[in-house]
Amino acid sequence: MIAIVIAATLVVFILGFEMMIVLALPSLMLKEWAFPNMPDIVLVQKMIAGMNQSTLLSIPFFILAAETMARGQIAARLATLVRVCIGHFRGGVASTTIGSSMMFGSVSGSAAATVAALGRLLHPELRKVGHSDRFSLGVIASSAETALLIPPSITMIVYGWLSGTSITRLFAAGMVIGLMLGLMFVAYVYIVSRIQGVGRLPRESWAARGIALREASWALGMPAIILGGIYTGYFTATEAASISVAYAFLVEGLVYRNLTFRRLFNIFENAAILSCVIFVLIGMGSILSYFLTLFQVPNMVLALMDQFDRNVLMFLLIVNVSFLIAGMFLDPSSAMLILVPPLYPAAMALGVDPVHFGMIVTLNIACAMITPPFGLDLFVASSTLNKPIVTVIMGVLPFIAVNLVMLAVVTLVPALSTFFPALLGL
Amino acid sequence: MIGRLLDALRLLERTAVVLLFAAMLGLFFANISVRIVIPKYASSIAWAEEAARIAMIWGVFLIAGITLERGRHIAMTTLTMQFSRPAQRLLRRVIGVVGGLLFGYFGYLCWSMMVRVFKTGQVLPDLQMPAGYLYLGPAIGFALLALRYVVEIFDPQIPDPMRGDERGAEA
Repeated sequence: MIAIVIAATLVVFILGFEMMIVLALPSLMLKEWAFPNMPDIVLVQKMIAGMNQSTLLSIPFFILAAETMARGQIAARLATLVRVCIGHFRGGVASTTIGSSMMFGSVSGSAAATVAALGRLLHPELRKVGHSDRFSLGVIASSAETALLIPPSITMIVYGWLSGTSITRLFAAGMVIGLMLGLMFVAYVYIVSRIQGVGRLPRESWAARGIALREASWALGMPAIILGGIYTGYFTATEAASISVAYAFLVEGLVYRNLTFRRLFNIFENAAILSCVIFVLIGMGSILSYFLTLFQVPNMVLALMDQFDRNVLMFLLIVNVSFLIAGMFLDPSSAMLILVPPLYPAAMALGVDPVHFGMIVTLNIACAMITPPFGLDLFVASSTLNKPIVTVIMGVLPFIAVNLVMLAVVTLVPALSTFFPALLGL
Repeated sequence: MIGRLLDALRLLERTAVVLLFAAMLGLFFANISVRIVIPKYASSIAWAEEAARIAMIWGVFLIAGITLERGRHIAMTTLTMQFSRPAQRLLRRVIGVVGGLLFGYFGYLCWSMMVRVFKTGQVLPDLQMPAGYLYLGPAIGFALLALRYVVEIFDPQIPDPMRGDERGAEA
């Protein structure tokens, strides 16, 4: 029966059924097969109970903030500030792309929104200073994945909700891992630019930098509010999320005067649609995770690990491979909804720190966003910039290698994930 | 005629969802503001957080139908886009049947759950209103989603190559 459930799920997945159907179908089949006397009403009870949590409010709030900023001027002003500050260094424009993605990630939490918002802006500049099309597309698609790691990250919120891990601790750890990944990307683009002798802009005057800083000062308030508020313990992640929306409305509306009633309507509508995409999956995922637990799948994973003498490194290797493969085909939320419920209890039983495990999961998913054949950022970069997908894939390959090195380091050194939350006393 | 009805329905859905999301934000923000500015009244506005959660749940379900219409729900269509157009249309009709039945049933389950909770007299802890209302939004939302799948049986929408581009916007 299990084989039939898996086969049916795979068939509907491959045939392009919506993921919410792909997640719902195995739950219904498992219920009918193993628990025929359980009333079906339990399905919706589990689903709504899973969704009725304050933590999840942060998702539509962060999406609202990102929508407001992506359609407004905050993204462009942040990118300009980074460019005038570091554009004159070797590989400066590529580093600007990475730095801007990290900045934008620190206020939006969405990789695709980052590619879309910054790709059009920075691709012409990368080409202008002599980078190849392949390299330029690679930098744009890859650097956006730092948005998944730099807080606020919707991927981490979903992980925190699934596992009960403190979102504040995850955000603190994500800051370190995201910065490290960004710096490794910067190191790579520096080496490439040095070898090729391309990729720098004329040095900007201090006056120009001052103007850029002044113009971006309101935009810079955003990460300060979100991160400062959360890390000092003054706000919860959800509270910081709602304040970030209010702040984005204030800046785009009153300061940049860029917010009309129609635009506001579109922002709310689009945020609702994007939230719906995640929440329907979360709802169906809650049901699936309930049945996976009833079937004692986490115990099966542990039994499997007994064959390897419960070797933690072997377990984490299996986790990495599973997430990388799943992430190549699935969106981040679906990959987590399917894999975290069976793997997380096993990780805890093996003594893995929940924040460390969260960083491994998030980094895998971030890497999978640029991994062929179906990495999402590849398609977003290709369609946003109207470039062949093959060129984008060729461009991201070295970044995938950097990513895998980072993944190995994060997996082997748990302290990288845990020291900053501990330092902040979280 | 049906086209006009769907247009009117869309306008209704979009307006309702925008209002719900605005209420969700306003209520939650008011809740925090009171906690920060006049903390002694914080407990008297605790209901706002519960109301924001309900607005969120209602909002995300009520827009599910429009989300499907716009091809924004996540689907792995890379393979099926290689099929011939008639094959793709046939496949969307099949998906329409499955989705219509599945989400029609989920809508029915939510409705049954709502009726059952109403009968128990259970109330929401902070709002002190019948807890069954929690399921009303999802029941209507699933029905609207099922309706869009049924529409696809008669008027299948082939996914365009851009479909799925929003997948990671939630990342």
